[in-house]
Amino acid sequence: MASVGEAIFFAVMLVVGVVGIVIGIARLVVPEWRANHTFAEHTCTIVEGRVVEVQGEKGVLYRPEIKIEYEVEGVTYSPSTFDVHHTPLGSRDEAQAVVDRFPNGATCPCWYDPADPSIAVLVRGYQWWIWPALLVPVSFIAIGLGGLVYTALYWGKSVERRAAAARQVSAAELFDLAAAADPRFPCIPSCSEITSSPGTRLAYRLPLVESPGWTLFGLLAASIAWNGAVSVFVIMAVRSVLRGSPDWLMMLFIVPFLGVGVALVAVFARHLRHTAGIGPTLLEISDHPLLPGRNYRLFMSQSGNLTLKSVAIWLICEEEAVFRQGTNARTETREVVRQAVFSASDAVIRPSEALEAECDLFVPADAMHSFRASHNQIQWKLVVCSEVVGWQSFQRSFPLVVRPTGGSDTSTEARP
Amino acid sequence: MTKLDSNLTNPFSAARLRPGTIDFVFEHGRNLAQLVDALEANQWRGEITGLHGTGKSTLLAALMPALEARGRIVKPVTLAAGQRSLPRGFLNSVRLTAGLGVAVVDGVEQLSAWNRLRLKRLCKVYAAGLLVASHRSAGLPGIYRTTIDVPRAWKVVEQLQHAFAPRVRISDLVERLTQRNGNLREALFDLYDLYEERNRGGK
Amino acid sequence: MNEPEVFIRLDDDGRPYAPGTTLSGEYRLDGVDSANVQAVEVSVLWHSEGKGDEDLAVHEFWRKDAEALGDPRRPERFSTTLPQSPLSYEGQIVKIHWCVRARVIFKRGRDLVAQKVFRLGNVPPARPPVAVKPEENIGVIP
Repeated sequence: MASVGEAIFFAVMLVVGVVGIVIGIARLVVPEWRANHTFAEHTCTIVEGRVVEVQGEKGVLYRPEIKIEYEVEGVTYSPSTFDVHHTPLGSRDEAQAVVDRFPNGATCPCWYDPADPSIAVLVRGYQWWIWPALLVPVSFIAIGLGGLVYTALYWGKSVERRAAAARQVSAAELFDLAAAADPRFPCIPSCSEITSSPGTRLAYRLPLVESPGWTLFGLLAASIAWNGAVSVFVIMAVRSVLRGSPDWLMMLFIVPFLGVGVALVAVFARHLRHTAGIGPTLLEISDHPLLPGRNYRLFMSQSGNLTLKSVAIWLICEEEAVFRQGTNARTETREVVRQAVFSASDAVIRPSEALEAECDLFVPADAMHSFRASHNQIQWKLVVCSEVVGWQSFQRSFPLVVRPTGGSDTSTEARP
Repeated sequence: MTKLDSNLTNPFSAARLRPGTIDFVFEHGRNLAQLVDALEANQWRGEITGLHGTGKSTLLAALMPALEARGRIVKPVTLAAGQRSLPRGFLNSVRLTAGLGVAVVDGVEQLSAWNRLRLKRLCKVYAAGLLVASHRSAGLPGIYRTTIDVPRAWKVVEQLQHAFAPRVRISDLVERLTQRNGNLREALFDLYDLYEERNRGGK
Repeated sequence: MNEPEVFIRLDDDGRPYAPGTTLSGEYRLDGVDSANVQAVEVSVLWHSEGKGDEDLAVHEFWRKDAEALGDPRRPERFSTTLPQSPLSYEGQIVKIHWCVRARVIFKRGRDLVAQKVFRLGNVPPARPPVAVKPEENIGVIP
């Protein structure tokens, strides 16, 4: 629950922020605005210019100070000025350069404050640093106000009341992906990714958990980026050799980087051969989401140019638990259901003829439904495992959503 | 076991392993008051060091209320793996404690060298204390080095198993601690699985 | 005076509830100084247990302030329609427990909390799967 101490802390931050921004506006923004909009233009005579040293937080700064003389309504004024903030500069040379722009005895335009003609400036404009400086009190206000709102909302509120309030807020978040899941089935993941993907033989095509295309793309991008950078140094090294004065140090330096670049290309090529040779695995299902105790039809298609020693489809349910404590973060998964769905062996796949198969999928009657929360999940998937002659084995996963019985709009028949 | 634990089935559930839910078990002759005295003697600056899973966060959680009881304003932060800088506003909140604060940083070794230096320097400038927990020394006065030995680890297990059926024996703990190189947190996670197995098997 | 206690009783106590059915019951306070009671909150919620951090969500929440409470020793009824999910689950590393939790908030002193567990649905406990090689040629290759 929120405490008195927290409320006082946030109130102090809010007050500090408000005071800071009021002071900032009064002393920085308002004078600058007035100088640019309300000061009257006039002509003055430069009496004397000098550079004055001022002690800043980070050391000595240098302020250009130019004494001018002008007359307003019969009264002569002689202020020392430059801009409205008397802005100091980082170096003496910078400040001197400003002073040199206004030689003694010269006449030049100036602008004076009609409310107080003794105040005048030689330059106008806006200082960029004012606005980032104002962000400091704004951040205090944001923290203080946010904290006070939080304290007010959760003052004396139990954890159950806060969880109930959070539930109402999350239901109102229009663009939250979690809220897009069916509200009739809390904590069950959305099926939209599957039901929005129609199949060619059966109702839906199941998406892959990891697309080999993205892995290939990543490897290609990494190879190009790395080898592109290394090639610059390789060209420089080659040119030095052609000039007759080889740079041995540089050549020695780029050898390991060249090695990494070659390895990246080799990994990419192997992956490309692997992916092209194996081809995509397609899995389609007759209905979705799934219900316990129901029967479904599955269609599988495996293309490529390879000979399969064996291929199997498994229905798997996994629990996943995430624990975070400071620097320690652990994720553990545990399989709780592994059910054989399909198997075959010694199948030859040619580029013109994919391996196709159909089978039944029965979801166990006592199956737990899919579940997703912030730290814990129960996820169902179909996994196609293939042993390939002359290649390494591979497997591809296809996520599923299982809902509890009594909550579906599907018409798939139950197994008697 | 609290009333809210009454429907839990495994005493080694992750929620029960959180710092603050288990009492820290000190070595013989050491206690919380001594640590607070040592901190006070060092202008509220100190560090707790120790290997993974030896109770640093648990000890920090035990120290915080003790510091508040001594009139200090505690400003805690727990850094995640790879978090190289402090959360925005943290140092400002320490500054606003007007010399009464103690910044408590769990996982200080995650900060970059610059941010660690900045934290130490600004706590001095703000006249605030600084108590950190880390796997290796952060250059502050050492207050306590957490270690694990079987008798103390068994006391933790006894705490957890209190009001549950006692299915885990000391020999089980010794075996898991050895397998996990003295990391008690990981050993307790292993004991979760063992307890689960024995609970279902009725052993 | 007895130690303050909260008692929760569910109608059809002990049996699993089906999703979409009504959960009803009552709570009463005992040994409580009614002048010291600020409010009573009752929630129907689920929370996780296991090797991950705890997740918790409240399905239904009621709060009665002291003025509306009357005699705290008198049983107060509550009733809600249970949702379709998540069902109670005894997994290996993830478990889901449903309960009714009553919290008495006092003007002085710590809160008093009690809870009554119930089962939603009838999902059996999970068992580690036994790895079985699938039979050859389950399914049809046209």
